Amino acid sequence: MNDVILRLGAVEKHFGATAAVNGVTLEIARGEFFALLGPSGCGKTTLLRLIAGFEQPDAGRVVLDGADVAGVPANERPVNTVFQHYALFPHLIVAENVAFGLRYGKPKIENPKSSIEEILKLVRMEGLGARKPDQLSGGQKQRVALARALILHPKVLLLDEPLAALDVKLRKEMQVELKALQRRVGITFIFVTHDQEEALTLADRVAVMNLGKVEQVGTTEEVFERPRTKFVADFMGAVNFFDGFVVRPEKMRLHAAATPGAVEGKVESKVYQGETTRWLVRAADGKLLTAVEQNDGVSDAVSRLKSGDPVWVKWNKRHEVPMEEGRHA
Amino acid sequence: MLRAVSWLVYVFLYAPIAVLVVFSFNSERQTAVWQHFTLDWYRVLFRDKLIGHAVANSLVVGLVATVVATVIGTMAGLAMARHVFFGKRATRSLLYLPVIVPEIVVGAALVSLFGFIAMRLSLTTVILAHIAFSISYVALVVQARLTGFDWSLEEAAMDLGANRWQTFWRVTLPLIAPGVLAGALLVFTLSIDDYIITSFVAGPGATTLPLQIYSMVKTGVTPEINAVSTLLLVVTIGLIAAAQRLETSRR
Repeated sequence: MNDVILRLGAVEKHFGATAAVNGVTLEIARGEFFALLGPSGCGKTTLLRLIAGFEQPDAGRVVLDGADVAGVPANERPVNTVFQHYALFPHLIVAENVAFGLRYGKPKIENPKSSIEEILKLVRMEGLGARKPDQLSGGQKQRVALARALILHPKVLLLDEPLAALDVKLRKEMQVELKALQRRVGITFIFVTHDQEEALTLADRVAVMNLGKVEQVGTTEEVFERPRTKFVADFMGAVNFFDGFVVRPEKMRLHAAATPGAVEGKVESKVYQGETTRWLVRAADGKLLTAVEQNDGVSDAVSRLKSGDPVWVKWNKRHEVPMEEGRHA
Repeated sequence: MLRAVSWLVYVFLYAPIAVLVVFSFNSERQTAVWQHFTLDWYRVLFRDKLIGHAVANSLVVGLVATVVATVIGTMAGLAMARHVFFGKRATRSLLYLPVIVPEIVVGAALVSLFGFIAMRLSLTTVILAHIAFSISYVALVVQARLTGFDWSLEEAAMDLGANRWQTFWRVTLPLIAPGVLAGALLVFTLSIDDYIITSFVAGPGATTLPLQIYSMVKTGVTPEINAVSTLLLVVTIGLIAAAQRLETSRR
């Protein structure tokens, strides 16, 4: 990576006896949309706060655009944050919220008034500058939070679970909008999420975290298709574990009749999920396998199978993803 | 029946005050008999040098105690609400104890403390005493205002470039201002009508209004006392009402 905007070197952060971040090394490229993905308590939020400057690392380096910022407080870092619950100032109107950082901001802005209008237009909030935050919907608050941060042209924009507080439909809309916005402004976005689908939809690259460490870093496709550890495979929904490899459920094919090379079993249960149906099959050796079939509307022998019926499960050898030795415990 | 009882309770509660207010407008010096309406006693009051001096003392004590106790109490309330530290519960209890400790004990304790550090009783000792018993009230009111406060607002301000001081002035203080003001009004009210503690720590010439009223009552209740008490009552009710409005204002 030749144009690195943020480099974390062996960063550690302890709270009492627990290591929230336990030796994280990462490089994030300029202009990248990067996700920190993991379950709650994995250290992703602490890592984001270390980058923002709300926490200072116990060890390691945080290098932002070539300058080591470990020890520099949040208000002196060229980094801005969109908070999970937006943290808009309730006593100030939208325009004052957006203008808040301008009087401290390093980049002197020539015409604050027009740049406020510009940025509100960018997030499609033009004409709403005089509203108070409690007069805004969740999506609108999100946009104001983005405008308030982006007007300062941060080197990196940090987003803490940016879509978690929105309802499902709005979340889908904001995903598309956020992605488009990031492309337009060209600023590096780093966001934290526990939702693998959200990480896959938004990010260019993902770091999957577990117990304060990064388990795997890669493009969304790499992490999804080629998980290296059992934890990552499991978190990404690849649940069919065998000795030394894993197969994703949508790569498993079901057959209603005996098929060469297939594993024989009985249908344990089937769950209709709209676009797909999720099958649980109990293999003859007692192992539980999961297969996901598209609901393509073709009524075949498989789609008519019921619980207890015999079934044959088959997968292609090239869909077997090897697991790293010693880490698939 | 129940209705009659409640009326009786209210009569019991407010009859003395009503008598006090009504007779402050009575033209007759003998308080027992109503003659006709007059504002004479208020005129006498405003010419009375002793009362004037006492009012001036009370205002100085009240204003200084209010400013100092509000600043310290606000800081204490913020610290209690913001930080988690070892011994927080104990510290909190110690901070709020003065609210329930009998005033007579506080007064006796303060006068022995001032004796111990060889501090002559004066108006200064009155001010110090009022500050001491007021801090807890401000801390309580401010802390109540801070329950459920979104601390990420402070982080957001710092994230946008404000230092701690700028964050306090532009974000934290405006949001807790109603609580701080309510605390200040409460302190002023407590200070302006405190008798017990003040009587212990007041030096010569440091007579406040309640002390003055009490010394006048010793020689018999006059309509002048009714008048000054009525004024004190109006001011106190006004301040408490304002404080309550602020406390219950939009969070």
